[in-house]
Amino acid sequence: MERSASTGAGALLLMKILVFIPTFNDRLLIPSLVESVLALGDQFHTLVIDDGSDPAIETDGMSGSRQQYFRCPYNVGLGVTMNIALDYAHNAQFDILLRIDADGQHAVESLLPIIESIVARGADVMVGARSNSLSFDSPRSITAAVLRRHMNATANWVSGLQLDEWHSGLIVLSRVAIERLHLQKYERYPEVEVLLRSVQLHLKVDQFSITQNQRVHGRSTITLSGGIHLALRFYMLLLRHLLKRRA
Amino acid sequence: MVQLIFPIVMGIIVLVLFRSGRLSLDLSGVLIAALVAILVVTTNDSILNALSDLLSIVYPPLAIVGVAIGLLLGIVIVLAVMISDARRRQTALLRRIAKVELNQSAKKNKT
Repeated sequence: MERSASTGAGALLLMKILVFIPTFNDRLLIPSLVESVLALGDQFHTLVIDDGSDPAIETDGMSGSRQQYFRCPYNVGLGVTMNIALDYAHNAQFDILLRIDADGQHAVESLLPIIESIVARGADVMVGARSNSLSFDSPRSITAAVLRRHMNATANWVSGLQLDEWHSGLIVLSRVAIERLHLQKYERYPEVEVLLRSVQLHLKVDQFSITQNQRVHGRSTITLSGGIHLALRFYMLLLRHLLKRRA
Repeated sequence: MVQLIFPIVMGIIVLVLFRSGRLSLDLSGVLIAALVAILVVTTNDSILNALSDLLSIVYPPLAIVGVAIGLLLGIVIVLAVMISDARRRQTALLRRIAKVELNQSAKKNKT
């Protein structure tokens, strides 16, 4: 389906939409999340990729024509799972690929508005910018908030985009974006990489304000060393972007 | 003779690991080449003096340290490239497996 012919909310009914849910040891909400997504309409399909959880995610309830599941034999990182999802979306000719987190922080009710928005605005990539992600209730959260603002400002300056959020797990890709981005290889930090690649590939990037749900179980897997790694990867990605732009 | 002990012992270790198949052909080649370079520099005074003149090192034996550090950095870079390459191939293989499995699963769901 051509994107130009699919403007307007009614066109959503004709679309094939893939909701990609990567998970690593987040198992509690997966069945209900899949059920809620599929309940949005017949055009919705789900792809759950278990990134080497130990023990493996139960797949008993996940069998149906609109549900897909793949388990990586070991933890390969979010980048490779993103690649797998892009390959699948490309091969199965999905019109929209939407990635959400497995921990329930993204409200399923916000999926339809964000898809309508990407279609209406004619964007290729839409980021779910969290309006309530910054908190200042502890030294750790203050440091994280300052660091995140600094990273957002730096990434906007380097890329020329004007996004409020560069680390959102909610990303929507159009058919054009799927076709171009599936040819790239992603590493362990795909959120920023996908956006920078989109700029390099001249895709139209936009954002949509969302409200993030409170985490109901588990906790963030980002530790101090993980945060340092993340920051290092972030600056390396920006460096690569600048080098590619100059070349 | 004492200066030969380090490269010879390291050479034996590399050869034993290579023989047992625990060290790949490419990596053993790089390590052997590095050890031969150290061996040549430590046993040949004229090369050592020429090298120290080239690097403006007043005390020639220090040139050996410079060569060793240079070789180590070179080996680390070669290793890093090989690891990155191995990861790239591993990822490509996994993507291929995922593609096949998901296609099979989709076909199964249709029938």
